[in-house]
Amino acid sequence: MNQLFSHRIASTLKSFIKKIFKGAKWYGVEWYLTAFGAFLILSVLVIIIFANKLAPYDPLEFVGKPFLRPGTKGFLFGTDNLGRDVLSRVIFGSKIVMTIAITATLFSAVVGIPLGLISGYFGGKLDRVLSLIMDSVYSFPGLVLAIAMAAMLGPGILNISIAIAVIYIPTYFRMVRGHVLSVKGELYVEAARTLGASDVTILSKYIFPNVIASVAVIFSLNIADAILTEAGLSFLGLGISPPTPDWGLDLSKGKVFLPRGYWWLVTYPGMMISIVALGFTLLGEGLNEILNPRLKES
Amino acid sequence: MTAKKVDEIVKVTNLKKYFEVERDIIQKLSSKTKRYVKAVDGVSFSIKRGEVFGLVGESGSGKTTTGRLIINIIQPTEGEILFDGIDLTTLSKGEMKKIRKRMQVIFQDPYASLNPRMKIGKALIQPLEIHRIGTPGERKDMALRLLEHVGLTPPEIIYTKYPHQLSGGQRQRVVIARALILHPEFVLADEPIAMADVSMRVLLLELMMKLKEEFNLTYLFITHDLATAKYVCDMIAIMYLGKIVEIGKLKDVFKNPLHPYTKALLSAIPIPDPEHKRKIEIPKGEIPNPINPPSGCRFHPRCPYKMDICEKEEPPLKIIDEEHSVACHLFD
Amino acid sequence: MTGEKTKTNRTKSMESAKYEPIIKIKDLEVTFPIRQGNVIALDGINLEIYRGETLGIVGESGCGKSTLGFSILNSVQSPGKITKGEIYFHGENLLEKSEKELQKIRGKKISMIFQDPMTSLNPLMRIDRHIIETIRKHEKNVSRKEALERAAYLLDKLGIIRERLFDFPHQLSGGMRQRVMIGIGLALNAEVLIADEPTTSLDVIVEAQFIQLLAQLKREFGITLILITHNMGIVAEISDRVAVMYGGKIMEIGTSDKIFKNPLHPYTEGLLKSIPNILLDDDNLEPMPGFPPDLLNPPEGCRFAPRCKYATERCFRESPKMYRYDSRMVSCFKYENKDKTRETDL
Repeated sequence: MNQLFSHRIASTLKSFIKKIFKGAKWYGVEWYLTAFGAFLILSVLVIIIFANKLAPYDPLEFVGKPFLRPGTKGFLFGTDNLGRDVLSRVIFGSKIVMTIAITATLFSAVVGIPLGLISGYFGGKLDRVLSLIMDSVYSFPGLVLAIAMAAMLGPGILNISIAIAVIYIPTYFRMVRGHVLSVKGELYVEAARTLGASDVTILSKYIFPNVIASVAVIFSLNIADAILTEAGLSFLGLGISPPTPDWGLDLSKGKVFLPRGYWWLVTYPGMMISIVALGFTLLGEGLNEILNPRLKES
Repeated sequence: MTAKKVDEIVKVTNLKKYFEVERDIIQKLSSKTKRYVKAVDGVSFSIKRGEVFGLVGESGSGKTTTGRLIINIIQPTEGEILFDGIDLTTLSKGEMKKIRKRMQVIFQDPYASLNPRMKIGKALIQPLEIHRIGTPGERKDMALRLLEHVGLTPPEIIYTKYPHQLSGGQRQRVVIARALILHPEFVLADEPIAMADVSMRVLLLELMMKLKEEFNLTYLFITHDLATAKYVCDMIAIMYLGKIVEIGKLKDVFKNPLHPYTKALLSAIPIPDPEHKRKIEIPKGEIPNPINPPSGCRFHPRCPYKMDICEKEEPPLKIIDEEHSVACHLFD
Repeated sequence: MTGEKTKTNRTKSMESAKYEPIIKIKDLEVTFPIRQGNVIALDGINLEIYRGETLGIVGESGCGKSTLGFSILNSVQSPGKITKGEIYFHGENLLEKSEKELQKIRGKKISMIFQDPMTSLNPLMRIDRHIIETIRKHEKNVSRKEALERAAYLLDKLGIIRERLFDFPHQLSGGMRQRVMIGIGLALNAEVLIADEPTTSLDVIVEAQFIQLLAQLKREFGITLILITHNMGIVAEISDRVAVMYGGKIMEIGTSDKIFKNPLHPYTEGLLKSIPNILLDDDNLEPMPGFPPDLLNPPEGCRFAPRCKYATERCFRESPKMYRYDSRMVSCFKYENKDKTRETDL
C-alpha cells in the first residue's frame, strides 16, 4: 500500500517535471522564471511548516553570547545583541510575515472583488460613489496609509493585516470593475440574458469566471508588495511588538548595531524579505505572461 | 396554458428606438439639446406563425436594433411589441422570464456568443437550469440528443469540450442547439451564417430549415445579404436608416422590386458569373449619418429618381399589391 | 529579358503570351510553428502573375490565401516563416533581399491593402499627412506642396473631395478609408496592388462601388491587381484569372471565364454549387459535407479527399500534382491522364 502510494507520488512528480519542460517550449524563458518563483515560495512554505524541526533553538531564548559572528560553532547565522540565534529568528519570522501578507491580500481580495463586480455590473450611482472612494484610497501613498491605519488600529497580527489590506482593496476593485465593464458587453452575456438568466446567474456563471483569471496575477504580486509593507511597518515600530520574531522588526532593531560592524543582524532578515518578495513577483509576472498571452505579442 | 394562439406571433406597431449621443463636457455646456441616433424610427410589421420573415438592410439600417427590441433585450423609446398577443413593454420581470422560454436567439458571432469558460454541455443545460426544467439526468439527456440532432457527433465528446476547441461551424451549431433546447416558438436569427465559411453556410441554412419543420418554428431572419434571404425567407422587409422602405412576399420583392433602394441593393450583389453585366447604375455615396438623417425620404440624396417632393415629405408605406407595400413618392 | 525566357513564355498558354510575369512564385512553403506543432500554411505554391492582369485568389478562411499575399512582400506575420521556395519580382528573388531593400519595394512597387483599413492608418494623423509622408519617404526630392497636390489629384480620382484630405481617419467611412489606402499606393506609382479582403467590412452597395473603382483604376493606371477574397461574386466580376486555394495548396488556376463556366476541381465545383446566385431561379444549393482540413494534421494524399465525392482510394494515399488540362492547371487525379501538356497549348 505504502509502496503504491510512493510510486504514485513519484509518477505525478515525474509528469509534473515533464510538464514544466514542455511549458518552457511554449512560453520560453518566462516559464523558467515562473517555475523559479514558485520554487522559492514553496521553499519558504516548507520552512514555515517545519519551522519547529528546522530551527536549532527557540527564537525567544538567549542561547549564546551576544554578537557571535556567523559560522561560530552552533550558530550558522550568528547571534543578536541579546544572544538569540539569528537563524532561528529568521526561520520563525517567516511564519509571521507570510501569515500577515497572505491574510491581508486575501482580505483585500474578498472585499475588493465583490465590490468591483457589483459596481461594474450594475453601474449607476452606486458605481460612481464606490469608484470615487476607491480612487481616493488608491491615490494615497500606500505605506503612509498603512502607517495611519496601523497607528489607529494598534499592534497585533490581525490589525496589521487589516491595515495592509486597505491599501490593496482598490487594486482589486479597479481591476475587477474594468474587466466586468468589458465582459458585460460581450455577446455571451447578452445571450445569457435572452435565455432568461437572472443577474446573480449572469454575475456568477458568465462574468466572474472570465474575470477571475487576471485576479490570480495581482494576488501574487500583491503578496510580494504586502511582505515589503509589513516589513516596513514593523521596521517603523508599528507592526509586531517585540520579542516576536519578525523580519521587519529584526531589521529595525539590528540597524542600531550596524555602525559597530554587526552586519548579520540585518543581512539575513533583509535577504529573506527580498527572496520571498522576488518569488511572488516572479510568479505573478510569469502567470501574467501565461494567462494573458496577448501581451507577449507586442 | 395559452388558450388561443394568435395567428400573428409577432406584431410591432410604430416601433422607435432613439439612442442618446454621448457628448463631451464642452458640447454639454455649449448646447442644451440632446442629440439622438434614431436607430429605429417608426417601424410596423407582423410575422405570421410558421413563416420565415427576412429583415434586410445594410449596416446602420436598424435591423439588428429592431431584432433586439423584439426579444426585449432593450426597451423601445416608443411603440408596441405584441408577442402572441401579449404586449412585451408592459410585462414584469417574472412574466418576461416565462416569455423568454418561447423566444430564442441565434447570434451572428459563434465565437463571442458562447462563454469561453463554460463547457458546451454546461452551456446547453444552462437554459434548462434557469427555467427549472427536468432533473440533472434528464437535462443531460436532452442536451446530448439535441447535439446529435444538430449534427455534432459524437455528442458525448462534444459535451465535454470548451468552445475554443470547436471550429466556427461547430460552434454555430452549438448556438443553434442552445436556442432550441427550450423548444421555443419564435427564433430570432441575427446574421446566423455571416461568420461561417462559404462551404459551411449552406449546411447551416439547411439545418435551420430542417429544425424549423421539426420544431414548428417561426424565424425572424436578419441579414445584410439578399442572396441568402432568397433561399430561406417567405416574407421580406427592406430597411434603410431606421425605416422600412419596402415589404412584401419574397417572390414579389425579388421579381418586382419597387423602391429604388431595393433595386440598387439587388443590382449591387456580386454575381458569380463573369459574363454578367449590371443593369442598373449603383447609387453614389454611402448611408448618411443617422444622427442627422436627410429630410423627407431618407434615400433622396442617393436616389436616381429624385423629385421635389422627396426632399420635403416623408413617403408613407403604401400598399401596392396584396401584402406588397413600398414607401416611395413614385407610387403616390 | 533573355531569349530563353521569351521562349518558355511563348510555349505557355495563349493568354499569358500577351503578358510577361511580373511576379513568379516557385515552390513556396510557409510554416507557422505553434504550441501544438508546425502548421504548414502554404505547401508548394507555384504561381505566375502577369503585368496588368487581375488575379483573384479565392478560398475559405485558413486556406492560406492571406499568407500568400504577405509572402509576396516577404512579410509573413510572426511566428510564420517562409521555409522553402523563391519569389521573383522583376526577375529578382525577394527572399534574398535585405530588409532595407525590401522596404523600398513594399509600398513603393508593391502596395497592400487590408480588410480593415483603420488598422493601417495612424488615428492621430490627418489623411493628407499619411499620403505626403509616404510619398516623401520613398521620393526624397518631392516637396510637401507637390506631394499634397498629387494626393489631392489622386483622391479626387478615387471620388474623395479635397476637403476630406484634412480629416482624421475615424471621420471617414470604411469605404473612404479603403480608397485612401489605395490612394497611397497609387501616389507612389505602385505596380502591383495586393488587396486582402478589401470589401469584407463594406456594405453591399459600397462594395459594388469599390469594385467598379478597382476596375477603373486598372484601366487608367495599368496596375497589376491581386485580389484575395472569399467572395466568389466579386472575383467573377473583376478577375482575369482565378486561383482557387484549399488547405494551403492551389487546387486550380485558370481564366475566370473557364473556372466559373466549367470548374474542373471537385472543390471549385462544390464551392460554386454552394454559393447563392440571386439571378438563378432554382432554389437548390448543394452543401459541401465535412469540415476544412486541420493543417496541423493534414490528411494524407489530397487535402480535399475527405470531402470529395469523386475520391478514390488513391486520393487518400497520394498527393496529386498540378496537371494541365483545358489550358488550366488543376491539382486532381481526374485530369492526370488527360494532361496533354504543351501539345494542346501550342
